Amino acid sequence: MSYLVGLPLLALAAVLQATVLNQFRLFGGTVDLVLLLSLNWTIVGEWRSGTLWALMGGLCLDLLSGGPFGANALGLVLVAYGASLSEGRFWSSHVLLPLASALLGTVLYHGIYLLVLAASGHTVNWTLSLGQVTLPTVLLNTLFMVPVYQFVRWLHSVLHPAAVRI
Amino acid sequence: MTRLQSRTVFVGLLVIAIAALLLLNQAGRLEGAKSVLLTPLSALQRGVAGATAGLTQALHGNADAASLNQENADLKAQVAQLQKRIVDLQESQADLNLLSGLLNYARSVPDNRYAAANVIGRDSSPFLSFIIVDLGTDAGVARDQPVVTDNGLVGTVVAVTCCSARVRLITDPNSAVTARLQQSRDEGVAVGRFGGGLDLQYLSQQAQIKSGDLVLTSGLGGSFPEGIVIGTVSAVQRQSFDVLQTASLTPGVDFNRLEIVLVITNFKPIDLSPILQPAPTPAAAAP
Repeated sequence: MSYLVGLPLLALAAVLQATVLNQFRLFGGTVDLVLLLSLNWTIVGEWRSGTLWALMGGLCLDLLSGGPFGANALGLVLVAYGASLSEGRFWSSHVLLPLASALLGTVLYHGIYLLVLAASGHTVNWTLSLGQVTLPTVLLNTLFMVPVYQFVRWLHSVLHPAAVRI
Repeated sequence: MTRLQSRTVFVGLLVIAIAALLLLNQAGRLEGAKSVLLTPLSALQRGVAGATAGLTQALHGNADAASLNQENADLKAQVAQLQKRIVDLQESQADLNLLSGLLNYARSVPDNRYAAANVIGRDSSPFLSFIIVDLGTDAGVARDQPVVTDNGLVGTVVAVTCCSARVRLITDPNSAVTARLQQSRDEGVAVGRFGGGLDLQYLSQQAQIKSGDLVLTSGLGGSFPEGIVIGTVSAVQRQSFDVLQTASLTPGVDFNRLEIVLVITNFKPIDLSPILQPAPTPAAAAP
């Protein structure tokens, strides 16, 4: 069920990211909505579908990008894998920890993406990229993490309602 | 197998699959599949772009936005044609000054044909400078066609589907455009800089260049028509110990406010690869 909901949701998120959200820039940084959705879905406890959400969302982003096809998917899948290692218990144990996951996830995602860009022959200016894009994006993603986390928790409760003992 | 091991194996398989996609893409084997998958995403993107544009227009109280947009596109196309004629005239004047006008008068320059396209998206990655426009092969748009506005050169079409195209902006770090200073006729290469700027590189030390000079496409290499405005010189970096000098350019186009662009649909880039192939060695040529 989560895949049926996830694919259109992530496709829409990727389109919004490429059409609307990148109009609102803080220096060179924009909100990574697909990263936040897949990361949060992993955090709320769905590690396998979270990883597949990361794959689907990454491929949608890759289709809308002139960069190497698969670069976004690789970054997002590895971020989801990293977040899944704690089985959701760690990140859910305190309200501030999802924010930390946004911070670490953004840095890891951008780092992997830039590595793939460099490996595929693109010109990468590491200092400017990390300073003007990644740092502002960390701030924006951390700010947007809270509402996205609440939305994903709500969506998870709708798709996977808790069992009730009768 | 523990849960961690099974998870690692699962993600490892995904990573291998993505690596295979990266390699196939590098080899150009995914273009067909990407085109098929991009078509519904482009339709969705066009809908979202239209919806958000409508919202903006509604906020501004613009009741007749659609007809005004069309009129605006037509006027921009006309302005672009006139701008091209002005630049052509200035170019002819410069050629006269260089006593090479006769040759250039004899040269036939076909009039450009334009297709006005709406910008419906930008690259999903903030590290790259591409835009997506709403015209594709159905409208005669093809790979390697130049894209301009009335203010100058925007970039080149690098990928195209039936109804959308991806354009690499000249400010992308992987973009390089052969350029010429309008005043001094010195030539260089305009290279994109991270963050949206442009540098004019490979200028000889003897090149006479100053702030405010207009930089145009030179047409060398056959990738762009000559005489399109790239930008103006904003600063010159000249070191006495360097072989070449570099200048910073201010692009003629404001890439943050691109809404409608013009694709030059009758431009045929020249494929120089057969000429540039190395000559066969005697050993290879022998039967």
